[in-house]
Amino acid sequence: MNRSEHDTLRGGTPPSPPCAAGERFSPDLKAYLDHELPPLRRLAVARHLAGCAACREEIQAMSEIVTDLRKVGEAEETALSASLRQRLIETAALVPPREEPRPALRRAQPWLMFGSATVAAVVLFAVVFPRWEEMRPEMVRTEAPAAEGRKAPADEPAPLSVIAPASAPTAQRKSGAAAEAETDGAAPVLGRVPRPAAPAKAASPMRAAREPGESPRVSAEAQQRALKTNEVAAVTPRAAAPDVQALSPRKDEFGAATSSRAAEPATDLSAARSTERLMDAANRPIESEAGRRQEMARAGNAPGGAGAPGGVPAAPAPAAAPSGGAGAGGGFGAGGFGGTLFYAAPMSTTRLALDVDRLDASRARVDEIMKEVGGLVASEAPRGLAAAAATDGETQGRTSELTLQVPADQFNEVMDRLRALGDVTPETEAQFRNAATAAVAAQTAKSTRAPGGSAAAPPSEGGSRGAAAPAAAPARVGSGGAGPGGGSPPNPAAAEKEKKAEATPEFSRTKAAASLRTIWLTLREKKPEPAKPAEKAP
Amino acid sequence: MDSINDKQLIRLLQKGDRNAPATFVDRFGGRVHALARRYTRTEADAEDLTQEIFVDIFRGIHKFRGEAALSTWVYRVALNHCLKHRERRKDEGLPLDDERMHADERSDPLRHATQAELAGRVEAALATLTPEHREVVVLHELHGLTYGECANLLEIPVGTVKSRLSNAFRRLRTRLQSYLAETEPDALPGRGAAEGLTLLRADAGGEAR
Repeated sequence: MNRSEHDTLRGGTPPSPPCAAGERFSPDLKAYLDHELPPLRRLAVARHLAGCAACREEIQAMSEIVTDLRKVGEAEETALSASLRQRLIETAALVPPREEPRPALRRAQPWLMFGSATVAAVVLFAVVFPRWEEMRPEMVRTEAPAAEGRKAPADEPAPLSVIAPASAPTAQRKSGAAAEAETDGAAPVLGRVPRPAAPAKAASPMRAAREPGESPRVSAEAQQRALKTNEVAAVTPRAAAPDVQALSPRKDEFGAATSSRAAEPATDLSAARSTERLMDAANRPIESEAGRRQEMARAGNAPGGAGAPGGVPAAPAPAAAPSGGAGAGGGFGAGGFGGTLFYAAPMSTTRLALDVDRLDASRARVDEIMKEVGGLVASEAPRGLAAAAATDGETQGRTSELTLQVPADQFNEVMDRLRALGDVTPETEAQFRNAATAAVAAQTAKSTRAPGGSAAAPPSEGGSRGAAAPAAAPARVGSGGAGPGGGSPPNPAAAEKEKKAEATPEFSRTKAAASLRTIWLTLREKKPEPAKPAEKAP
Repeated sequence: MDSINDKQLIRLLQKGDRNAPATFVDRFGGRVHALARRYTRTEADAEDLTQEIFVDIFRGIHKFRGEAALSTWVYRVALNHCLKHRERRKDEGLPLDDERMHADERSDPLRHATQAELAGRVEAALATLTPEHREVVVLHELHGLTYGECANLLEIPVGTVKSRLSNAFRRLRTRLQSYLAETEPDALPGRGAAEGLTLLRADAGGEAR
């Protein structure tokens, strides 16, 4: 670390007030610097850093210490002295090479596999069979009279092969049959025709099976028969009920019952249930955008509730005109999760991947550029053993991942200069264009809307992210992440909201961030193979 | 020979190729020796320890099946020996926190005075850490292992690596700052990081936008 930097920290500028969030973020700052936080936590820390000078200071100090340590590390890892090198090489000769016998486990593996397959089959049978009876109550119920009517089902020539395919065409496949049968019963849960749930519910499977007296015997016989014919899992329950098809005309009767039960007012908000409702709300023909939003907000439990400030005010505005897929999606994105900053965070960063000839030279050049424009290399991806190993490998060149922070007004210039360092990989080319469009738009907005300050709301630059078309980006400038539809600039309600949003302190706090932009830069060293450059040259 | 990857190198070593040990030593010798030096007091000790580690590596390479990266495995063997060495010294009654060799002895590869000074400063700060914290800092910062690799090597959870590093850095920061407070600051010209810092301070971090 440079002494001057420390001096700046110590006395050059007044010390920042201590971090208000205290211990919530400071343990993660180092991991943030090292790119070792999970994505969500990383965003949370980034968001905190935007508003906390003390933590930014700490992270800066850390990065200086890291620089120092790495310098020392590099100096330390020098080549071995010739004598030691020789000594170590000779060591290898002292240790005679010996072939380890192959582990016995290898040979045992087929048996292990066989054993585990058997166990799996038994478990599957045990799990599926009892459930099967529960799942098809009407079948169990009908099987008793059917058996009685025929007197002795065991004496029949047992048309197993006929029955099984009738109800489930794949039932003859031995192993797949069980699973097939299960899905056969469960699949219609998504429901076609809602049927009265009462009969199915009333016939509790166990009671239905035991009360008629004869049915246990019947099913036992059926099991025996099934075992004889080796149709183990799936055939058994079907075998005893040759008339099931006739008596219950709809194969998905039980499924329908389930779905009608699902349609009852849900008291438990299980994840699956709410997802179902969410999809439901999304698929319903649009009667009113507002109603649909509310429905969606209700379905998406906790975050939806938090998103109310975003979602609910949106309701009166676009009541008449559904603003199309993108608009509605944007509205939900902002409203559903409530955090405008949170969502905006990854959008303002620009990814740039370059194939460079010499990594070290390019890396040094990046430092120079940053110095000239007053930007910073905020962090560098962990180098890692894997990265070091890749240098030895045949598939990959060395890479370096940098997080750069540059003044927004220099952004375009920096991007141009960075691009000159190497070949922009095609996959980042398109994204780069979008980001540039957004940046230009932000600048225009800045110059037109506020002479003194940086008024361009940073979240608006979200346009640079995948789904949003570049053309939409300028339109979004200024409307802010808090905007309801996100995609309808002429909406007067949106404009009003924007004004309100600007007035809130939270929003103005983020304005300061507008003057810095982040670039995630990946430098990838080209492999010095003769074939590849030849391809790329034209 | 230098261009072969780790897998090929392992295969050659296992087959008993004559040139493979030299390649292996060139690839890992420096790193292992650097690690060994951190746990010994003299250069001679460090060389002995390095040799001990390589004996074990060459002996064990036939058992290595490539479940982990070769470098991770090498580090594990090396670190085990280093820790054993530390235990031995503890039994001999030598002070644990004096692992670091004298700065002049350590810093002979550092040609420039400024670098030597830097190394001395950093070493002094590292010496104030507990062995556990120092271990993580050395492996992560000086040897470039990731959190996952450190965790794997030290057989501790990744979260522990994270918290140890965080605590170690807080300590290092105080230590280095008090060091700077003691010495006379030079005037360094120009903008650069200091100004970048001012910039950072004035604005919110760009990533959070």
